Amino acid sequence: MNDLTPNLEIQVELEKLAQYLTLDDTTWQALVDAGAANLRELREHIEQEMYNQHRKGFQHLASWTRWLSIKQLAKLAYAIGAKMAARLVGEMDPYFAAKVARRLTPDFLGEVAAQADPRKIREVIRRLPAELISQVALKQIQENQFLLLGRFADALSAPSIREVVNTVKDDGALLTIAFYMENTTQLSNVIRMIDNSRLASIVRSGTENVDLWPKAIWVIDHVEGELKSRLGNIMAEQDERTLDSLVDVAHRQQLWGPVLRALSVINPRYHRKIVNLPSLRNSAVLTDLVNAAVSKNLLEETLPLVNAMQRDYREVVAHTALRQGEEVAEAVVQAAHQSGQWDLILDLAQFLGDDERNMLARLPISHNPSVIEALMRNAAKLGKTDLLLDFARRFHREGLQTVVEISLRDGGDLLQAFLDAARDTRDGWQAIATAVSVVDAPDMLRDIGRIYQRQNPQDQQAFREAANETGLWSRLEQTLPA
Amino acid sequence: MNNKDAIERMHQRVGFLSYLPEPVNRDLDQAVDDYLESEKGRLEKAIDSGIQALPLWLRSIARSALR
Repeated sequence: MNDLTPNLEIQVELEKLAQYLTLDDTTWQALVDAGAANLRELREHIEQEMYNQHRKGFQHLASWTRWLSIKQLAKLAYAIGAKMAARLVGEMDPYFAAKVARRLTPDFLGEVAAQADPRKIREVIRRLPAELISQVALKQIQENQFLLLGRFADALSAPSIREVVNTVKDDGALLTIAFYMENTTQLSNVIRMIDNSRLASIVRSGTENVDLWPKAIWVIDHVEGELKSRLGNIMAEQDERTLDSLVDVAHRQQLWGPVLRALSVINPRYHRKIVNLPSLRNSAVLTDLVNAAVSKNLLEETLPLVNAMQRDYREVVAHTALRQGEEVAEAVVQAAHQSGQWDLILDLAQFLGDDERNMLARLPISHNPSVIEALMRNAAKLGKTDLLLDFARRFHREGLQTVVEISLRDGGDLLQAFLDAARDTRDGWQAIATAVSVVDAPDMLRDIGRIYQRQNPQDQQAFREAANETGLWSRLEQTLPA
Repeated sequence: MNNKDAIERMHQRVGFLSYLPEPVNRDLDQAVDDYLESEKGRLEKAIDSGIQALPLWLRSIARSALR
């Protein structure tokens, strides 16, 4: 069936449903919105009803098969045909059923497997010789039965997995089987059993073919921790031209969620190479990437990638993020705050224009005292107090009061840092005087006065002039010793 | 098996179906019904011919179990 949605999990479930149902386009489109879990439940319901047909009868018949020899049963399986044999084998003792299955040809076993309830024959599959399994797999691959192979890969034993991987030379076929597996724990087990060079070859088959790439990224996204980073590293080792085309596919098929999750666990030495790909210079691509990071709750993982970008890329990211509106800007600041990545926010802030800075200063999160404090302390630590002073000018009254209150803590260390920066900052003295002018409390004014008196005469004069303009000086002067 | 019951059970289990618009739901019910019906037909055909291949003593057991 044609791709109805860029969401791979939904697309896979629709493909599985399409094995059973013939629906008109409107109905398929309505099912796209149902979500993968609901679609899976619908399919499982259909399968349950299907495999329950005559189940009791087959159970009864299976109880009689023990009166026949293995040889007789194998002969009988061919005689009754794959469909009936599949239903009967599902109700037999798996040990006994596996003995019969060993006597059947791979072609016939493939036909039986296609008709059987996968849940019922899992234990039979586990008991079959690895060579037989791999022969069945080869036959099914020839017939493009990847949905079926994926389901049965869920049931394979370790020796069978090794044998199939060794026998099947087509990397793309193995990747496609992995893509259709349902049990992600088993998927990780399978991947663990494949040696590094073959694994690299399988991942490369996905990165070299844009049709397979979504499947490769899906597999990478669904394996467990250390495997995800192992596969992600293989992906990251590809040349820039290949990676550029993968970015293009990720953009077109909205695969940013899986891509960002993979990038967040790859070796950081690849970050610079990937985030500076020419394809990422495109504003539409970056817009999608930023929105995906927000909607998939991946901002904390994405911010270190931005850090690795070249200056001009970071500038595009800063403008792009702000263009998405206050909600996105708020989410970015929140993620940076939670993950202690203020250095990046301060770095991006330097690229912002007046309107963008005003918008940032107006955000609800910019009223949060713990955020203001973190911003101030990091700005002082990173020598970006000029940037902070610029933002302070844009803060509302409450925000300014918080700024002054925090700057007076610890003997006024932070206020001193801002005064030091004011000398070299355009309108720096005015910014401090404006911020401090919101103070009414006599004890705070006294603290400011004490710090004022510690400054050299030139700085005192510059501050006094600025404080005069804001109307602060008359109040501050009264707190100074005569 | 009664397909109407199967679809009723499907609606009870698969919650989102009740939120689908009426024409979509009808199309889906019809498709599930058609599939289960045709699958039942294929299975019964396989059973009919399969029973003929069984040894005589097992044939009557299979017939009473599966029909």
